[in-house]
Amino acid sequence: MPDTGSEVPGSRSGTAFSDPEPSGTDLRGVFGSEQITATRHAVVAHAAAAGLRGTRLEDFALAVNEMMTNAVRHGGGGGTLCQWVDGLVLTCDITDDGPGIPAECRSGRLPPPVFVAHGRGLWITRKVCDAVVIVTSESGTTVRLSMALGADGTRPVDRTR
Amino acid sequence: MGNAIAELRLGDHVCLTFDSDDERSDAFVDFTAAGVRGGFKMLLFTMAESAESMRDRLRERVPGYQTASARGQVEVAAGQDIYLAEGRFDAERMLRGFATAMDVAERQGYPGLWVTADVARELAEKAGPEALLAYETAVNTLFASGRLAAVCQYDRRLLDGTAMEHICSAHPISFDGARLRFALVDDPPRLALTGELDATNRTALAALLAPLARVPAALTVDASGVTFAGVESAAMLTRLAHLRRSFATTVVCQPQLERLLRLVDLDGVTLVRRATGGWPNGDSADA
Repeated sequence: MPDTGSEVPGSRSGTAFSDPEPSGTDLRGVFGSEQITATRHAVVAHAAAAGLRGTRLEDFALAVNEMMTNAVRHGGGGGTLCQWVDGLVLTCDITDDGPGIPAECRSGRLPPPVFVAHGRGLWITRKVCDAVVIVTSESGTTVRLSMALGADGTRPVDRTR
Repeated sequence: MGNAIAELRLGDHVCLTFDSDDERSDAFVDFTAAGVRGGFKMLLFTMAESAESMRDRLRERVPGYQTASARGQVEVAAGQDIYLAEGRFDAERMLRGFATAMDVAERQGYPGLWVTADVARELAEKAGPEALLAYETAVNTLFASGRLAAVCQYDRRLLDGTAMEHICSAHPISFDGARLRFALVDDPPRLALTGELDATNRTALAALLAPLARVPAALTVDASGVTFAGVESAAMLTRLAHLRRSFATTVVCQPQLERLLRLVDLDGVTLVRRATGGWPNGDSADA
């Protein structure tokens, strides 16, 4: 199993995580339903520049797409995205101001039934990312996606499914 | 704003939203200029602005408009007379009208028909967002033969954000969103998809897939031109395969969608073939 991440209880209000070190190479933006496509393109370009490649880049694009889609649909119509590199880890925070992700969906350990066309985003995201952390606070929900950056864009440690 | 129009191709069903009257005017001008250059038959339905005023504007700003108009290549009509004929909006009547107009354009020797229209207050209020969504969803089938292109212009000031988002998603192409192009062949049944599949065109994809559930033969969805597919689109393809279980449904695709389909379709009902490098994974999804 890939890392299924962990949930951090919503004990803090305000900023869900400590802010990343400000850097000229951060990707930051606000998105609504109409910006999903363009924001995903920007995420892919930024991640590729950081060294993410091939299958892992495609997986990451999918994960970010699903979390933005969730934010648009369930998180008040949109949110903010911040992506940066710290050492050999690429991280993307997707924050919305919605009511949060229901507990039964948050664990993401069981796939939703076949005939439900939505609701699988988080399940798939957990399968394809190296780490997924969710923080729900009074001000909204932040999903933090992380991918390790290997020298050749592959995961430094072999993953087993 | 000019992009979707400058790159307009037959088969495109485009949603263009605007916030100001100037943007709307510019879109009509750009559309007509591109259509004149391309030699297409054009129908312009103008609602917020009168047909007379629109013709004056085009005469002033579009090179070759006069000649094109004189030979019947460009026709400008009041949107009210088309969309609200007999005082009400009737989606069925619109679909029949476009089918006829496509045949007429073909008989007149044009390579295809281009249509643009703006949705003004009268239509937004008389039809309502649900009817407009149903209409934009249903009209997608007209584009499968590649003889029609349309740019639907929506005034954001008239519809709330959720209604606007739903209506945009019924268009395979929207200005800021993903761009999906498609073609449908009846015999043998085959749907070809190119571009990106995400939330911004989800309703259009659903509309293209829905009638295929009733096709009583093996079906190929050639998604080899799909460069990105979100989870919802993969789930829709899988759902289609499940609905038509008595017949094979094969999806030909790039590795990204292939992996996603194998994750989503736990029963392996959808047959998945990789598009590149022959058929390295055989015929079955049971990898």
